[in-house]
Amino acid sequence: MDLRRLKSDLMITGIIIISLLGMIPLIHIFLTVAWRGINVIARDPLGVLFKEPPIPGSEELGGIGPHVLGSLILISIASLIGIPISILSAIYTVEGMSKRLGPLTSLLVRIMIEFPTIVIGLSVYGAVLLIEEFINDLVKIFGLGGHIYIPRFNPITGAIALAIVMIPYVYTQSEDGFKNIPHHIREAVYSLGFSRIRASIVLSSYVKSALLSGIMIGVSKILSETAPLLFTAFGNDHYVTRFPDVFLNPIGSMTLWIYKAGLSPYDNWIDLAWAAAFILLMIILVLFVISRYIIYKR
Amino acid sequence: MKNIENSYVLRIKDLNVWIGDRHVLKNINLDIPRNTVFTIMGPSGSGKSTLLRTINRIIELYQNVKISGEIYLENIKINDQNTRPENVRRLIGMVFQIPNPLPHLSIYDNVALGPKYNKLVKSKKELDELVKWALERAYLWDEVKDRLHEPARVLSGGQQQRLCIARALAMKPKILLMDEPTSNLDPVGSSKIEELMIELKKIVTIILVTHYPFQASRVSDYVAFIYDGQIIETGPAEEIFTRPKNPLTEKFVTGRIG
Amino acid sequence: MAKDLFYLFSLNNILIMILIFVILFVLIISSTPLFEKGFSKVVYVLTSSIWDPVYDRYGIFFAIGGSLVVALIAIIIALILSISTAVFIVEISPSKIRAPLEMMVDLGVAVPSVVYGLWGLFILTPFLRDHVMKPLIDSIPVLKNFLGSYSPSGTSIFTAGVLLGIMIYPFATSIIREAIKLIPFDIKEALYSLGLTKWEVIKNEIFYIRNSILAGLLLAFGRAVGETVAVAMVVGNIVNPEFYKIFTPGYTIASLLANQFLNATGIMIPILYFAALILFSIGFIVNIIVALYLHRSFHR
Repeated sequence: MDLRRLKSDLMITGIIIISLLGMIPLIHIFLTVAWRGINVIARDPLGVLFKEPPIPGSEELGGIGPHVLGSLILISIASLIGIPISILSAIYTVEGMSKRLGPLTSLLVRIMIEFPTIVIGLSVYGAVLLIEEFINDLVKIFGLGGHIYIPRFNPITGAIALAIVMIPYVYTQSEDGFKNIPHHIREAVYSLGFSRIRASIVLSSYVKSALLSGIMIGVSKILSETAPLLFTAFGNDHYVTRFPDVFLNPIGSMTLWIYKAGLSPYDNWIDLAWAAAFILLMIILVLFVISRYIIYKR
Repeated sequence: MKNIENSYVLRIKDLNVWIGDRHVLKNINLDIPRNTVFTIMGPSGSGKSTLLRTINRIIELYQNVKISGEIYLENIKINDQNTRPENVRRLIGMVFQIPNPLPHLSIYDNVALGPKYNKLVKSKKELDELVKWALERAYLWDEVKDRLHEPARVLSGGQQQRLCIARALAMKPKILLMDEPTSNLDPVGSSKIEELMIELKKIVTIILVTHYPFQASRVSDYVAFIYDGQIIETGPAEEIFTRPKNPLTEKFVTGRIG
Repeated sequence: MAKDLFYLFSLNNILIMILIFVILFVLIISSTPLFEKGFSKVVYVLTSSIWDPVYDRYGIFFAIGGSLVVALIAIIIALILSISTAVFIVEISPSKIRAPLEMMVDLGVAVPSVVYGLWGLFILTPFLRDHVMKPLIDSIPVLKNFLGSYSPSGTSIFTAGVLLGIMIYPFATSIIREAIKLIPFDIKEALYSLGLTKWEVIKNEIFYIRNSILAGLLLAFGRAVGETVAVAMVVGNIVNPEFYKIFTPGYTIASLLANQFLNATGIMIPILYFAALILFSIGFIVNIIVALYLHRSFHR
């Protein structure tokens, strides 16, 4: 009898020790990023946020300005593409009550959520090549001469890759939101004689907290992504300001910078990688807290 | 004197239970005679389920619970720090309001689980016999003997409840706590369980909780009427149902409160 | 019923399906130059470990093996950590620290993988080199034959596996934690009423939610196989036919793509697309299993 008790206490102690062991790295990551990041940023807060990275070998600190701006641009465009598609298709799946298309979307999106993101980047890159090839074939057929070149590395391809990453997160959250609408609310809305589009708008405002938290999750997800940008946005250490060039040239992101600078041999680049990691973590923390608050209020 | 002491299997002295700020049980004193069906009846919310859960210390799974008073099982105090709750629960089995067989285990494993962990048997053969014995006592053996290894969830509600009784019996407990065991069953299932109780008191003392006075009158030897956390009246069933002393008790047994 | 404009919403669903189709289509079309070389060439690419741009001969077995070994190490670490942590949070920890603990684990899910990579490169890699690999090899030299000798920097398949384990365990923890919370209270009461000790109850609860654990494990495995930058930062990125010697640097499929794709010419391009197709298929199969089989049996 006592042996059983001893075993129970031993195993429980073991569980506690292993759990604490697992949490040490997590805490260590948070603290390291905060400590190193803050120390770098404190040296020149505005410079870090707005300056361009220093050229290799130089002693100055510089900044990650183009990468902060790049992340901002990429996420804005990706959200513009991804959010409407996700929410509208979720509405169709739930409110349209289709027998095939809805459930099929539901299933495929849940599979899509786990696609390796590097494969998505690779596919977008490959798609650009295939489209270019197709256009040039047409050009040849019609005897127009010349060669059309589509730039592979630019904000648009990057944003498309990110939008593909984002869609399943926003979609699943929205779908769950609409599915959880109580029956009497839905009946009330439809009994007012609304068209389905109007009814969907009314119901959307009813589940706006679910939609918002879905958007938060989606945005923080693509903010964290690196792999799908490797072959699409590519990264760029300089500001591109002139109008059409912005959309035709490679563009940076904070994650791409951390990846490149972290692996570089230059100390000031590595410092800036920690700074970028800290800024990224702070933004994600804010998004996390907001989405928690939304869920909590619901 | 010693004889009287021994005729009670469970004695509760000055028991008070608070859940959060709520004083759920107030100064409970009860002596439960051996090999009887002792019924604790009262309207819902009167604290009778809490009383059962205090006896086998399942109450400790809830939060913000404070307990004072003493509970003796065969003259051994069972509600203090020196006694492990699992040792108490091994000796005091429990059947719950909603039949709760472990749905992922087979019928056989549901019954075998307790004896196996509590090392009540030495061999597989002994375990087989114990499982059979318990299922027979619960009037379930004939219905399930050909499908012992099917999952428990295939059984009907009444069968599931009898499986839970068998599961508790398999540990050869001194006391069987039954918390409204028929409230989720159809009339046929309910009457089977009631018959079973009368049969089972030969081998175990049953403490039944119910809010149906008529069920209490059908199966009980002794009755305690509990209202708002207090024992209003207790005594032999016949007396309580025919000559209740307290007007509240009378109102309850005639179905005017409940 | 008259068809209203609402049906236009379905275009979005169709677009999502087209996207999924296009991703697959591009991968297949872009690897066709390899398929056109015949079946034996495909088998050669799959089964040999060679990366020789001079003679234009490539076989990605080392990367497939590297991916699997890294994911396996990660899964073992994540499994042990996540079950313990989930049980600790739900069943053991005092209720006051429960919410902060859950918050921290959930935040661990949200940390960008490249940040894990950065930490892995500068903190974990030297730590594992100095405090695990070096003492182990120094004290038991014969282990060198099985584990290989570590590189001066400390990057290795082992390092990548450990980092990946740390990275996916918050995710696995949150799945298992939710499953434990969903165990009906009457099941818990039933277990306790049989006189089981706390550990015995926990053991039975883990058995009760085994399908959820399996699902969490499979999904975590899918993530581990597909993870790119964190692994690419610490795995060493060296063609290593002996990928099972875990202390040596190596490659995974994803890190191979990240490092080689933009330098690729000729037949190397379709081979890398083919590698991506394999990566895609592993994830796809894992998710089909979870979506079709396990999600259904959760709710029994």
